[in-house]
Amino acid sequence: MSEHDDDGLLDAVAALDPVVQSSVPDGSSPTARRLLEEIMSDTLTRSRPAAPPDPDPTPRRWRRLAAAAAAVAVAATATATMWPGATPSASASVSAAIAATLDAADGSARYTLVAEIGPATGPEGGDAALELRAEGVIADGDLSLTSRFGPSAEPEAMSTEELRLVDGDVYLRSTDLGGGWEVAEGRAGPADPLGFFDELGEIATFDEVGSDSIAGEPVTVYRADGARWEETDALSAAFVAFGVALFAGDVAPGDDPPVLELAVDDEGIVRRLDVTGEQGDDRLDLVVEVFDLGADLQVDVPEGAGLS
Amino acid sequence: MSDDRGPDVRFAELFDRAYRPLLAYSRRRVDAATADDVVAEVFSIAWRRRDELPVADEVPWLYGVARNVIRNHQRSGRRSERLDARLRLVRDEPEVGPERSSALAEALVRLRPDDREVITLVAWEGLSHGEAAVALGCSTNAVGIRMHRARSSLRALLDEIEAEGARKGSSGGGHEAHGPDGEPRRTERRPR
Repeated sequence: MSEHDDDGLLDAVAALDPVVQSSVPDGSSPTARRLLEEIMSDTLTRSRPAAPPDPDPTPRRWRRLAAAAAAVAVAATATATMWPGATPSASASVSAAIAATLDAADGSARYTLVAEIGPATGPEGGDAALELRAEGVIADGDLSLTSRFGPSAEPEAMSTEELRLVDGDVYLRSTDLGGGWEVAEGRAGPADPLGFFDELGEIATFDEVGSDSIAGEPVTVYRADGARWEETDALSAAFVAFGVALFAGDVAPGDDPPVLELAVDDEGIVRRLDVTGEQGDDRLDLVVEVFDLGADLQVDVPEGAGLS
Repeated sequence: MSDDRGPDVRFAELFDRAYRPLLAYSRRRVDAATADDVVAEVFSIAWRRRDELPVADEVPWLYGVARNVIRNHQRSGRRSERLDARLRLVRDEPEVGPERSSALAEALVRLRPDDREVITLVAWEGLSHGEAAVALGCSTNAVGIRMHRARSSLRALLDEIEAEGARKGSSGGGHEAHGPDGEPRRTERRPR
């Protein structure tokens, strides 16, 4: 089995295959040749058949991607309410840092994202944690995102996907299949991942919980209490905001509210977002670091896009 | 990405390459007669859309079409046959040992259909995560996450079924369980 199967479960399932492929007629069998002849003699129409509701999965995929891309445009959907008992000075510091970060970025920044998916509880019996690593470039509403995903223990088994959102068009390429760039159906609004911070700024109910360092620079860590996220799902919102939902699919909220922390450097700039939560039986850790705020960045339409 | 071959030539080559795996895919999910219909319908669709076939992903794309065609057949109730019934006909000499095979088949039957589909696409059809993504109409990463969850669920179900068997076994042999079709199924005790 070529895919990750350290416990042999897939091999065991493969052994249950109810059909022995070698016993199945191939394309050269008389039945197959008759069918081919019959089909190829049909020259009447190339219109799409009415019977299957959605026989082509590819457009559906692009529709989902376009919808998700649109979600990127509006950034996080998190809506939070003021929480009585907040720490005013910490919340004010966070609000100021978020405002300063957005000003410094002025629509352009780079970010890295690491998401780890692992067991929440219980013995795992050799189950490997999954990992998603992404690098993003935001440039005046355009977005470039390259992600690698796979089992943490097997870097060589990871797959790479790339996305670009340029002037509302979404392009996607999966290096796993060796195919070229393809264009999603529909159009998306401008990407605004940092808008997620802006949404956080409206909460203004952070507490200072400690200090840390990022690339050798000291940072102050602030935490939003989980109680403030009862009406929403910060983890899902963060995934959407930073474009990862485009690759990872739906992110269902867990039973418990996620823990969300922001790290602010000595210059009052938000450097890191850290969200930890649960999704079903899994634990998800999402860490986003932003840098090159306000740099002269550009995202180009990929060469050869849409020609496949 | 361009392809100098004409669409008719491409189609004939695709037919030769994909006929057997698609027929096998269909036979794993429906009875043989329906499987023939499914394959005919899949290639008819592909023929009508031969100018639009995705060059790099033709075969996984066909799996996606077959999946939808089968779903339609099953929805309409025409000669559908459940996977669990087919699993009961599984090999006489399974490679994983008869007891574990029985429990695993039971776990596979109890698995949510979406989880079962992603696992069997990889384990039976031999698709990579990227190819399964094309067939399922989602991203490769989404397949990876689905596989992770499906494997976790399958393993949990397997443990549960084996524990049930051990409990029943300790009180005197195997036990009878009921599958989704309501038919009694006998699960053998597995020594721990």
